[in-house]
Amino acid sequence: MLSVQKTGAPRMGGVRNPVVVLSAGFVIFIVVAALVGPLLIAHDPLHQNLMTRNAAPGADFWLGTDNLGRDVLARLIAGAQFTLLVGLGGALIAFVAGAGIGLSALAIGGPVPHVVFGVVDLVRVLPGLLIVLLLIASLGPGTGPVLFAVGLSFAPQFAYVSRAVWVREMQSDYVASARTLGYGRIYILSRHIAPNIAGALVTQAAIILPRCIVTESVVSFLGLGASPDAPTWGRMISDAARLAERAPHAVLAPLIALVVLTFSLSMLGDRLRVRLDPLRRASATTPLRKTMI
Amino acid sequence: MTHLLEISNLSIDINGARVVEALSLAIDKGECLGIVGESGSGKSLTALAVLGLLPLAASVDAASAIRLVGTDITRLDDAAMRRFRGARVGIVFQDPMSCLNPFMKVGAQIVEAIRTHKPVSGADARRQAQNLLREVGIRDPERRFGAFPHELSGGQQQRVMIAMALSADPALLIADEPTTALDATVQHQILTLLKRLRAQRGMALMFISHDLGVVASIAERVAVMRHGRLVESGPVHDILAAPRHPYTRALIAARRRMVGGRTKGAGQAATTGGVVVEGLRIVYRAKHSLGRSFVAVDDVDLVIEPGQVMGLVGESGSGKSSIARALAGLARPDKGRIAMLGQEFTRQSWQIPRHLRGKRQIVFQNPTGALNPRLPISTQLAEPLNAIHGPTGQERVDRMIQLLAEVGLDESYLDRYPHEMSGGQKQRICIARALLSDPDVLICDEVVSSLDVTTQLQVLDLLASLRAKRGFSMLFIGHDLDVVAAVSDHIAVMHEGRIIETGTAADIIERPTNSYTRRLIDAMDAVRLPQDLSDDFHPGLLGHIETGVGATSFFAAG
Repeated sequence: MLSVQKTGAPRMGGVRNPVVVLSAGFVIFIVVAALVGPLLIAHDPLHQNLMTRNAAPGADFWLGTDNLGRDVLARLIAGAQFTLLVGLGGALIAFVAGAGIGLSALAIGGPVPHVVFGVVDLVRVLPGLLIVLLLIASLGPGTGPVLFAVGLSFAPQFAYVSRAVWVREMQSDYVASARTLGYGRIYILSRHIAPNIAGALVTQAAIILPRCIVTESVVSFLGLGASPDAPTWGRMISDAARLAERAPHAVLAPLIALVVLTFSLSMLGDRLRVRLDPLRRASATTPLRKTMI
Repeated sequence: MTHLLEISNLSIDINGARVVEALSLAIDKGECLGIVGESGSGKSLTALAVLGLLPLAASVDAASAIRLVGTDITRLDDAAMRRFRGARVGIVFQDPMSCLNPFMKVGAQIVEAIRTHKPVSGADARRQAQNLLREVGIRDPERRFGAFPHELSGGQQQRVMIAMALSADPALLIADEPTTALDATVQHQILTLLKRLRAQRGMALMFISHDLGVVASIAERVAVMRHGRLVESGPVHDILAAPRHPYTRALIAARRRMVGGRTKGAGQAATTGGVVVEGLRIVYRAKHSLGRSFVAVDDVDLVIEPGQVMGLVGESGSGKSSIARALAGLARPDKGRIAMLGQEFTRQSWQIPRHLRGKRQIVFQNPTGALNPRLPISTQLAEPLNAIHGPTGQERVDRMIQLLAEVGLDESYLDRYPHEMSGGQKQRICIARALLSDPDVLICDEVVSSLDVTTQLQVLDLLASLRAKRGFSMLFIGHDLDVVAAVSDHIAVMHEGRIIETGTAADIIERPTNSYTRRLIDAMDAVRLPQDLSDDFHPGLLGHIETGVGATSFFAAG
């Protein structure tokens, strides 16, 4: 049924769009590499060997070594695990915190949403990175705090999306019908808003995911990330940047990986947004006549 | 003699699906052809094809030809078509607000249209634009020239659209549902304007509408379309007096039956369900301190006797829906009281007590918006039963199936989602949902306005039979006075938030005392299908349609 529909129309920016296909392929490649890569690579990402410092890519070290003689490929793969963890974990924390706070406030009603969204507004006007740095400074370093800080800095976006869907759905006639029956906000939230909000929030998560990765890399680059030894892409770039003229491979490898991964994830997220765009569906439900007041 | 416009064998595909099939039509110089059809009949696509404005996904079959003043426009490239469009053929669409650029003064938009087609100076174009505005009946055109679209009323906006369409003196004007979005009195004015312009300019008119009455009031010939095919065409009088095709007959019969009398009065000896509204006032407060509040309803008194139907008519913005929303508990009254179900609803206590939940119910205009697109029908029908702590388990399912049967649907609909159903089916589901809690008061807010004519008839018949059986009282809101009169025992006419006249349905129609009501009735008279023609019908001709069962099965097939 679905496949029949898919073959029919010429689809602009559809699955057949080569950029989307390549993006999906690269994301899958990184995920597989992060999962099985450590089993295939002989080198330890943390092993230092001052004899082979800044070695160029070759048969022994496929992507060369860094300034402490560590294998760049092994570190890249170890970093991929951490990067994906930050992306998924950060987006998940942002999702739960943002949608949770936003929707609970809306469900409680009265002055609560005004107060909560006032605070959300205040948080939102600050640069996201500043919030992350503030949170890390107060929570201390480590993987957990970094995840938490990155996730929380994107939570306002989810709160806003929740409120947008809430406002739209609350004006719908099926909510009016439920209210006529005497149902309250909690019921309407769980029965009517929740199924309609899921798509928008998942889309938002897909858009936030690469941004979490970039934010974490910046934090790592600034030397505030997870533990100093952990091979994250941001730290690899930071460490190798000082010696970029002598060992360009050491900085280029994580840099290219970061750019291509975030680009690919953004492409896929955007594609998902177009696919799930509620406005596209709304156009099909426009009434024949002008609504009478 | 060659025709001004000759469409021959026109077929249009969208994504491989045939939407217009071998259509042939012709319009002569100065003639008005009406095209009638329900949504999806391909009438608008035909108009767009004549303008060369079909959507990208659409393709015109190679065997088709659209000859406008002798040129086959299906063979023209974009540049040639642009010169043709506007100069030879102009169009007026349904919703003027969405066709006018909101950031541009209307005068500038007309000047732009003029200068696209004629090499005239700015001052000349300005003078011509003002003349056009005067010609389409805009008072004080010099001042209106500098107005933005939102400063004009819907009727004035449509006049501006017509002025733009006329700016290059086209030989053919296409009007695609030009009055559908307008109130009855404004519709009357626009139709009068179009008739006058046609006579003055000797211009041909292709008038597209779903409303046979409107088309009959303006066109000389009418073409009836259905499922992309031409069903029947001929002089308006002939088609109305002796339609040959069963679909045309059904269309005419549907409208006549819709406005024909129904069994009224209390279906059962109803004692509950009376509604008394006294001094109701509803104000929509401004969102911020500097905004103005809007008084939607002011000092309204209304009495619905138990088991009776009160019709509420008025134009858009008159406050009809606000009254519906207040009765349904969706809008809080600022003043006054509503007494129903043995309970007083006022500003202080406007929420329904638990034990009365489900005793008043509402059905909305647009059934697509009234059903949650993400939930199966069974879940949505469970809502009223949960509210009244109704039966559970198998008993609940039986109850739903029974109600589905009452609204003419079978139990397979329980597992469906709204997008798998037609508009009429969705409205039946909405009615079933409203009746599951066995209400004493049913509020119907424009319940048939978004449906096709034949579906409207089914829904109205359904409501009438359910009311006769269950005996609830009803507030029936509509903008079509004839339909409201056919359904209601009493009618209240609303204008600018107040009720200006109430009376029995017959009194309001035959002996209106208020000047606004009279204007409303005059506007309806102008587009009413001539009832006397029905006397010419051979009874056998309509036999299978006049019997309810035959009609239903015929429409269901479509």
